Amino acid sequence: MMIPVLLGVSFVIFGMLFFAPGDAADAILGDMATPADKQLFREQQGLDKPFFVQYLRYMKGVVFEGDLGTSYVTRQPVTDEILQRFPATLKLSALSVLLAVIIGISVGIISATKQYSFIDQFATSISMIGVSMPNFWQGMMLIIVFAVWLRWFPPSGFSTPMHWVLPVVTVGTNASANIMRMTRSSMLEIIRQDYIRTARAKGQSERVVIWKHALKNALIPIITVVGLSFGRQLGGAVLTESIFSIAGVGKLMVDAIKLKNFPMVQGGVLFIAFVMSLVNLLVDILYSFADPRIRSMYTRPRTKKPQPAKEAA
Amino acid sequence: MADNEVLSVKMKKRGQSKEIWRRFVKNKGAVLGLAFIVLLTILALVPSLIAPYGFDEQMLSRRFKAPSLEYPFGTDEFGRDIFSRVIFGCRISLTLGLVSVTISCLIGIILGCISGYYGKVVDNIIMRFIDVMLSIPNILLAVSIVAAMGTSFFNLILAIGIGAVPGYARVVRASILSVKEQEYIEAARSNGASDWRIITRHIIPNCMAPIIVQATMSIAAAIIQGAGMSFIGLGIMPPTPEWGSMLASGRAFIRDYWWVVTFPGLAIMLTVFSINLLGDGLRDALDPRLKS
Repeated sequence: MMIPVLLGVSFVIFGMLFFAPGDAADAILGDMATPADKQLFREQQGLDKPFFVQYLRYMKGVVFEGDLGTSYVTRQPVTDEILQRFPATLKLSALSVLLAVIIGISVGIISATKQYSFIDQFATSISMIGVSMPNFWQGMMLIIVFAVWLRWFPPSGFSTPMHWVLPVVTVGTNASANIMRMTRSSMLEIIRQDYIRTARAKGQSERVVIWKHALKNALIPIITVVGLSFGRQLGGAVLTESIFSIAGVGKLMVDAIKLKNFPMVQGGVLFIAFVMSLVNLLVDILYSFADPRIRSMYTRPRTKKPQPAKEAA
Repeated sequence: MADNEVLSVKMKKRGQSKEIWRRFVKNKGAVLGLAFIVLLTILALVPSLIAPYGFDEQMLSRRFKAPSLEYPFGTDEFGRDIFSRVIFGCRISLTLGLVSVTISCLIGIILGCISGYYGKVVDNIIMRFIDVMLSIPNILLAVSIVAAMGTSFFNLILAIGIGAVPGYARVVRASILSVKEQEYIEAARSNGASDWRIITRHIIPNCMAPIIVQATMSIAAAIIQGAGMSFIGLGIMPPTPEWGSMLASGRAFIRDYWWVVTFPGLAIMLTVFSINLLGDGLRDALDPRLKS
């Protein structure tokens, strides 16, 4: 499923940028170039070939050599530039999602177990505000308060753990709002089930009931949301990275768009779509850890009789 | 007899909308959200009534004035009153939200209907296409569309609208699949109703609740996304008082003048917050089963 989707993504993005008005030759060579120079550039880059020839050539490079083309601006391979920037983006995403999971799930559980209490109402209103806040604005507010006024953390960069705090808190708290809401509603549904009452009736401690019986059964939708927010964060890196001046894939792409550096834009989108589909795969694998029913779909039932035809082979 | 029937149908209809309204009013947050949206709509329609200054009235002698009675939100680097600019910004953000949602709603409903109603090969093709769209993060899709077509207000609206299509297509398809096998559809078909009539008169009205909720929520998302796009310079360009582009141009001064970026962002947050409250309220009012 993953490969056809990625092929589709590449086709859509390639097609969109191919038919975009504005000529790459003009953008790269500038106003000083003569028409002959431009023609030569187009021939060198293969930009004068028909659409499908260009697309097939591009895909051949991507699939067989991991080659996403050459950046118009730096003349470096796009793949290299992306891979060089990716660790920062990945670190930011992973740390933020981790923070979001810790906050989101614990607050969600407290909210669900104490439904309609003051804590619950406070947490749900805060999370509603969190969902409504533009991520990049929240980042700027944190910079003003914690970097400019209080001087606790540096306002930009991503080199030391001190630099990580503001971006990770920005993205993490924002993502935790969604996770918290999902945890709460999923837990509320589960703790009304009969088997929770049974667990309580047999004298199981409340802690075990919530963490083992309830949370384990509420986990599937929570995993879905965590996966989604990881993906959203990868795309949203375009904004957060430019706020905190982090040299990641997102900032690379924003800069590329401004210069009409299409191979870079194309490569960036394709790369992020690829990472997202890996995340989706991971989510599917986590499902089977969380739910034995899903796991059993992938393993052969033990009672099944071995088929004679297969034995022969 | 016929009159009687019409009357009873009418009464039932009014009764239903009354019932929805009654449930809606019970939710204080939703009413508050609705009230704030009404206020915003008024601001968007007649901004000059409330705004004390024009959105592009520059005066270099009053650059970077802190918030005061005269300039409630302070002034920016050109000496423009931020309060007035925020008010003028309402129109842009609300237009962006409404128009882009209309676009995505229409395309999404059409795709969802075809896919859910006809099924089989058509369904497969459309849904695979939707899968492709979904695996490109929304903001990246919008970024690529604007990068390809050039920056303008309309392209921004289109880019955001297209990004939201998959959501609608899925919601519509799912509700059509649940409605399709009901007896009243079979009854309509046995009466000789055409596909078009069944879809428009029987299926869509019965799928309206989730679509309305989805539409409300995605207006909020569209406003945030539009502001984000303008922020990275792919949306509405600086002289226009769009909230996101105000944040972008104020960003250079956050070290010394906090108010330049605080208030436009606050405006985005309050707008989106009240739309979300409204959406939550609508969901609970339209479908009480979902509430538990």
